[in-house]
Amino acid sequence: MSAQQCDLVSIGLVGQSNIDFTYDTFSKYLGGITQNGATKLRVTVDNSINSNPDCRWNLVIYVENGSGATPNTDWETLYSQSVSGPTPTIDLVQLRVGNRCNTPLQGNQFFTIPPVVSTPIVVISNTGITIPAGSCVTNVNGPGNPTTHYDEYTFDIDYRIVPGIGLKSGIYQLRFKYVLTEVL
Amino acid sequence: MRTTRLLTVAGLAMLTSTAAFAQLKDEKDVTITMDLQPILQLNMSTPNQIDFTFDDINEYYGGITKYGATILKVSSTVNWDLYAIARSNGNVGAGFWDQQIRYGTGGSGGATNRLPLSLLELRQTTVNANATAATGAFADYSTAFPAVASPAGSNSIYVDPANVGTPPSAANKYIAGHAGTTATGADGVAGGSYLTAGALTSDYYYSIDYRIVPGLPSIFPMAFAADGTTAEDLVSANGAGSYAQPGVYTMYVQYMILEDQ
Repeated sequence: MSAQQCDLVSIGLVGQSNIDFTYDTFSKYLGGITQNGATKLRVTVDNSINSNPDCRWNLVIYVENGSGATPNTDWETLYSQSVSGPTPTIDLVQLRVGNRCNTPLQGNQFFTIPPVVSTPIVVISNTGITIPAGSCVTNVNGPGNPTTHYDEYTFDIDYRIVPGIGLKSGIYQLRFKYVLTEVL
Repeated sequence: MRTTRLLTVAGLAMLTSTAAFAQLKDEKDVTITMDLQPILQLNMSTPNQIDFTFDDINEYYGGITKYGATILKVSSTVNWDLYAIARSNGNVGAGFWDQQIRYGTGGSGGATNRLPLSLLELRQTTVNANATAATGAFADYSTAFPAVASPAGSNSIYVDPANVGTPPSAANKYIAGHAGTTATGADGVAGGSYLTAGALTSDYYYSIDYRIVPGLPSIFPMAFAADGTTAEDLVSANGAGSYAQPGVYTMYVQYMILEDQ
């Protein structure tokens, strides 16, 4: 176990903490709904007090379905009267995580989230190497903040869901947890 | 006293150690809610009124057929069933055509205005491919219209005798899907749309033909009960010598689409 490396890690959320996808037309079912920039994350990591050069961080997304009674592959059902069709699975959701320097590992493209809840989706990984702010390359993980390095420390999250036809009608919910952690 | 001091020092050391190794972490949550509203769309292309005028002896003998008079196109996000049901206002009686006017004195002793709704025949161009759970003589209306000389109930429209709109049972006819919720294929059609299913022969597109054969005398030999086997022509229903009272009669057909449940 190592000692603390950074003085502060902080993640700010800009945007709605509840994002609604309502499917009420056939075209929405077939074409899906995309909500671009629905979530903006502002990452601040500071080491100005102890000036430790090993201050690094990682950013991971976890998807939870909020209920132990729900299969770990499914959305949590809030309401449904239907008996036909399967419950939607969590891998219906596509995410795109990006910023202007394209630092996320996913390459600024939509990707399907893992099919099982709590599987980590690593956006910025713990490589053991510090890539300092201002590098403007993949996996920048040194100290920095959106004020001084907006293009690396701000992340836009886009969401896309294409239900297709045949799923059980109802109201469903998922929780996305964005976790910023100091690397020890 | 010395022991107490040592414990205190040890405790402070542990706290210091814990603080030194605490991993800094922060997190934010976003909740996503998905509302999948069921959509059942039945697009119907049809004249508001379909007239059958019998003013020629050949039309009485051979009947009148209206080919492709109604086109049904389905889009549904859930599994579904589709059926037709014959209805009337019941001014003659439940299960009979409404008589709007009669001509002259209405005919002699055997004349009756109690024309069964089931005298209307339907034919769907696409076979009901999702009805293996059906138990009746005819699962759908896909059989070709029978010859006039060989009356059969293969195409008689479903009638709820009580005229309250009760859906057909497993023993009756559906256009698509069927009674029950066993599974898609057995008694339900999977969600989908004519927009994406492609061919006009898909499970989401139906062309409906109509036929009425009065016969001569006009007893409507093609009228059969919902089971498809019990004759309801005027002689079977009212006895020998019965025939249709001349006049104008109306009824209507309801096409019902509903979630397979």
